[in-house]
Amino acid sequence: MLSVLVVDDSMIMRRNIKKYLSSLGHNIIGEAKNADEALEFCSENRPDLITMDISMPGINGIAALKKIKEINKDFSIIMITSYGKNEMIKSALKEGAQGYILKPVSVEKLSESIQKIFPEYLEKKDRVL
Amino acid sequence: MLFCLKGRKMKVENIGSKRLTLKLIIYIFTLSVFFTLIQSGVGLKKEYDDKIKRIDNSINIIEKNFLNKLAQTFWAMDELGLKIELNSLLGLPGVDYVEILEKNKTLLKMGKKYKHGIKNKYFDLKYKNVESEALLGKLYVQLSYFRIKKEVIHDILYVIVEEFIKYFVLTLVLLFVVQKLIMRHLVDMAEFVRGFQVENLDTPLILDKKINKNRPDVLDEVSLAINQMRKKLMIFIDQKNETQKEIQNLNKTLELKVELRTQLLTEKTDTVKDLLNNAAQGFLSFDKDFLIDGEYSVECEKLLGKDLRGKDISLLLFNKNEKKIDFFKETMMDALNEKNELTSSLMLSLLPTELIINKRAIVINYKILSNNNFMLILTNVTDKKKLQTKIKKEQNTLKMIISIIGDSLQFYETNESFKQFCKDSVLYINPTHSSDENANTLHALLHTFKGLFAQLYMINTTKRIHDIESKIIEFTENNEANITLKNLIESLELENSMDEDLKIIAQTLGENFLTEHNYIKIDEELINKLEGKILAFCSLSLEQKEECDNILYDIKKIKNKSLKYYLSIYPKLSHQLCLSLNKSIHPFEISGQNNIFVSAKFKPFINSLIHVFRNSCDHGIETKEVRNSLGKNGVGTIGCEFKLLDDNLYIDIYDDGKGIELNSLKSKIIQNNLSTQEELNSLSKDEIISFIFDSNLSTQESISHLSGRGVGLSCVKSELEKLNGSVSVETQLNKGTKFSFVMPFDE
Repeated sequence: MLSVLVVDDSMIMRRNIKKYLSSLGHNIIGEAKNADEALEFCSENRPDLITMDISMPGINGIAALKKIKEINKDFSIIMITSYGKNEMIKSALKEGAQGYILKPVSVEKLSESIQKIFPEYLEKKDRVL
Repeated sequence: MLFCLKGRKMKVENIGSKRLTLKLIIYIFTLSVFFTLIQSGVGLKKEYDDKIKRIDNSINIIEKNFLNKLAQTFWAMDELGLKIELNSLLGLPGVDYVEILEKNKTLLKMGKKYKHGIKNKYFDLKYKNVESEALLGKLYVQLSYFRIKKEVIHDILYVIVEEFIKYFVLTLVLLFVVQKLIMRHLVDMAEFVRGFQVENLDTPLILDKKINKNRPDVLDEVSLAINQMRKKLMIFIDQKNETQKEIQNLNKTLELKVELRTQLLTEKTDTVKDLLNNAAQGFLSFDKDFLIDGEYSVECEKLLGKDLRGKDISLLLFNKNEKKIDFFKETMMDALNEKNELTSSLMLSLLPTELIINKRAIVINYKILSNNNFMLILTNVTDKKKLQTKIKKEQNTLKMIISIIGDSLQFYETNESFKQFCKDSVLYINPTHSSDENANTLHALLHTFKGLFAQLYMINTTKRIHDIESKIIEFTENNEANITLKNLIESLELENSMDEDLKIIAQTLGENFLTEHNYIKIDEELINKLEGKILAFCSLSLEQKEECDNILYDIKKIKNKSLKYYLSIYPKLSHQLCLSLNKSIHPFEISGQNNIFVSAKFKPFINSLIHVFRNSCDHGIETKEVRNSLGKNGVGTIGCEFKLLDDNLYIDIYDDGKGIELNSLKSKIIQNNLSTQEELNSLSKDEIISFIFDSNLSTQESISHLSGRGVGLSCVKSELEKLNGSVSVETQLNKGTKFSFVMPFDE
């Protein structure tokens, strides 16, 4: 079980992602609707995983990613993005994002991305099963 | 060989032994001369001294033996006697000249007188007797050393010559001996050792002399040592040869192994090459310059063109789209330079995975090779795409057909209203309104229709209307006049929008289906009212009952359709379904009476029967291959019969497919938690089979596009129950399944 911070300006998106992550057995320890909230959260907590919308009003996802990585470069971050933003995704990857998910977000996509970042998690799960 | 050795021997003798001989001669000769000189010197000195002594002795002899005699003879005046005496004096060593002097006058002289190298000696000649003594004269003797010297010199020369000859001979003898005993053997040895060669190591060194094995001399020992050395060398060479042979053998083995490995590798490479060339996938690699390497699989040429070596891959993939080329190159390089494997693979995933190149759909896999080159795997999916498109189309068609049958009223009405709208479309352009407003009205109406058609899954119509909508939106952006809008609307040929879908419907359900709707459009309520009125009227006048009944029958015909008519769409539909599943069935018709009319309340049930037919096509009928392997006719059979008996309507639908597998059904039931093993064990076959009507069950492994999630049969059951009907299922493995529906029917 991973502790997750969900960052998205859309309430519906946050709710969906939370629902999906919960169904995968993860623990949502926080949510943020913008970069500032996310940064504040990250300076006080250590989520295993952060999902973050790449485009948010104010500080966008990539800038937020950079700042979060400044706090601790070991944070694992998955960017949520809409179709056709390859350049942005690439710069996010260069900045250290460990995954990206194209909208619409689904349980399968989330699960796949998480398994790529935490292969040992998958193994553990397999063992338990 | 022998000759050669001799020749060399001669040469060695000539040089080596001469030099040694010369040295020997010089040494021996010098030594011998030195010794000769010393020896002869000493000898001559002794002789010289002897001779001097003898001369001196001669004086003594004269004094002792001759003086008295001479004096007496002189006294006696015996001249002859004197001469004899003097002559004997001359016989003494060193005496060369004698003279008798009488008062310094020479009386008598004998011998030869020399001027040099002489010693003069004078003796007094005295006559003695007992009482007196008288001096008679003097004797002069000349002693000559000269002769002695001459003699000595002669002696010296003689001795020197003698000694020289003696030593020379000795030297020669010595030389001969040395030569005989040592030198030639040494030369032989030198020659032998010099001639040492691998080839003649087995020829031993044999000296030209007998070897005394018990008491060997130095030469013997040296030659033995040489031979031992030779033997050792031979052994060593033998060993070396052995080792060399071994090494050679090993080398050969290694070479063989390498050859074998190379062969295997070549074979493998060939196999891989073969595989790659026949994989129907293109494999190619390129470096950081994005120029394709020489080695690529055959399929690449099919997909990207001939002679790919050295061509820029980005140009081939993205034609001249610079933006895409830039992104491709940048991303490839980023992925290459990225150390984190996950990030690198994520970056590659941003690249387009499917491209249309030369009218072919190509799926591309990107890989980074260990040598920092890139590899692309190209898969031609054109056929797959085509098939997918075909299947999608087929699916859409079926979806459309099913929805139209399920809600034909909606279809007819939408169809009718849209036709009306098309006819009146130009009328919606109100000249008092702006062209934009009019366009918006038309757009809104079209959008509604689009939604209605979408509900009926009339995809082609929806697409057409969507395109028309776009054109109208485009129009509003240009601020054109109403007349332009009118022209536009007319040019759009709205009425043709449904053509494609209608054609498909007509093909599937028959032309009649499209024309029949005229009957349906009559308001059912109105007919009911009419029917009520006629009934009321007929009850009043009994004599016109027959007439009334005829009218009522006609009205029923208008209101209710024949069951056969309702069911008649299923044969075609089943045929279509089987085709899309790559199965085939014999054409069949619904068998039953033509004059059984069913009221509207039967419609939902009849419509739901599509699930039974669908089930037969999807799960019942097998593919041709499977059927043939089971010994069945490759073409399957589906049938439908109905009959009216004792106010009950019977409908049978059957197929000769694989039947329902009871065990698979049971495990499915347990898997879906619908029952337990124990419960199932206590149930009859029919009871177990009745689970197929449970909405929570699906017997198919994968959810096929036709039968969905298996809710179909439960839908049939629920519709049947609304009619108070019941169903029974007969099934036999690999023989087929028969659904028998029975429901009360009140004419």
